Amino acid sequence: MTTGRNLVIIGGGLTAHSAALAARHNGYDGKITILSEESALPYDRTPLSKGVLQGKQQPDQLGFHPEGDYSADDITVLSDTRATNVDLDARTVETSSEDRLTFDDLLIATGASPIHLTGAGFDLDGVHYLRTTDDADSLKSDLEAATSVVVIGAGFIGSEVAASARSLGKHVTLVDMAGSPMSAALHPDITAVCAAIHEDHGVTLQMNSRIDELRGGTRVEQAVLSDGSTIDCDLVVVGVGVRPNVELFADSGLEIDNGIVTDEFCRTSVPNVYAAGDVANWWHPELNQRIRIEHFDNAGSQGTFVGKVIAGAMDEPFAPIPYFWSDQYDTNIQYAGFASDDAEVVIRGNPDERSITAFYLDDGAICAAVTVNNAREFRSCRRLVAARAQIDRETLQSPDTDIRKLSREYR
Amino acid sequence: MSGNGDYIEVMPEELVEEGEMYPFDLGDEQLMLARVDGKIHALHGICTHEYAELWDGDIEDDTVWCPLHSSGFNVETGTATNMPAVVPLPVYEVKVEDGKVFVSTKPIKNDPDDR
Repeated sequence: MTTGRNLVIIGGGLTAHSAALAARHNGYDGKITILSEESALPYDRTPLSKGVLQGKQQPDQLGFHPEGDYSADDITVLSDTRATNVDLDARTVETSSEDRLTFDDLLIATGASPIHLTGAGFDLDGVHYLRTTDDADSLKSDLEAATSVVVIGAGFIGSEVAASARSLGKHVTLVDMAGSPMSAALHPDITAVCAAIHEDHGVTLQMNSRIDELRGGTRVEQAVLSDGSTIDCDLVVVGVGVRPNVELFADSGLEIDNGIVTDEFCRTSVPNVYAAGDVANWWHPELNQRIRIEHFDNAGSQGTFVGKVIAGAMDEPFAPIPYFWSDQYDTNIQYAGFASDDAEVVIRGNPDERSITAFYLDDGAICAAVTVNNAREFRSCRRLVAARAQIDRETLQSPDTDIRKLSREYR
Repeated sequence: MSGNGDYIEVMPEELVEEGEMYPFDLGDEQLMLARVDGKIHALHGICTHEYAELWDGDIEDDTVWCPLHSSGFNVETGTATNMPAVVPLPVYEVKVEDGKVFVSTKPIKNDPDDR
């Protein structure tokens, strides 16, 4: 029963989009307002580091709503509008356009923002971060004239930007403090393949390194590594991770710990105040721990979930199998599951051909799986993860094993 | 259901196995057959999100899963049921005659020309 209620969503990304539609389509018949700092309607950020930088996709064609219009669902999107103050007792949100919105239900979907480096020279022209279409526009136009690019951070954004810049013919150096790219997300046996793929494409890897200083006149000309050596460059992209956007709630009384803390229904410590997406650190009832996920799939599915909760149409807790993908060059990488640091890893396929499937085993049960250039096996692997299947190493590794057929009994 | 006459012959029905997908060409388009609970469906074979050949993906219950980014499509209606895809897949009419599968040359649902 939601009659007469009033939902305000702070944030204008995928989580806001999914939550607003799910609430509306599951019986929430009150007012729904999305408060977005950006000028565009909710859009897909994932192509920004890939198709958009490479000129294959246009930033204005990334909107989630197939009709580009939320009015049919009676959802109001206030674009270019920032929440400036939230009063959880008075149930009001003040905005940068000097409105005061009241709410019965509040969803915090403020997402996350890139961590900015503050060392000497990081304020020079030619230093970029990537999160929004504005960031992508600026990077893309700057990249066209650039010849030599240093990418700091070899996670998702860094690896994908390096691949895009390389595909545009730029000299690219990819720098990370870890021993190989993607190492925060993937096991070393897998990241070794990621590293080899970059090298195959002519990217210079500078691993186990950090850049503390940039030099130049008005524009960046040189990056200085921690050992004192330098790399000449005319463009730098920083992708060293994000922080959840919680500043607005610092004094709100909400529990904040690596994001806004919620239970398994995305409920915060204040009634009818919810958080979801990149900003939420939520209790996963099957993993028995809190997790905060910064990936597309979670932003969408948790948004849909919390929309149903707000509409009073969800009794089951949120307990998904975490999932992400990355596309670099013509390589597709996918991961499903949740692996502890001490999980054993079994590799099938051929690292020399840059095509592998990896299984993470937890006491013999498959708890996570990764495919690199082996997407045909991915869904099968996910089924084995969902079933926590117990399959011996030899069978998993054998080229004679048809993983698709093997997984059928778990379908 | 429109059945405006034009069909192409695709393959013998007996070769279409449960839970499997089979690509075929219709002019410049790549389509596929998929068999679920005995029934044969014909759908556009390329994901509406980014280029991916859906027959390399998988079927679970009534959902076709894209191999690259896990977009989901309902096999009966073509509706995008799991993001990142939001645009539905064109669905074609299937008929079986004399042990052969025939597919309509025009979509009966989600025709891109109607959008």
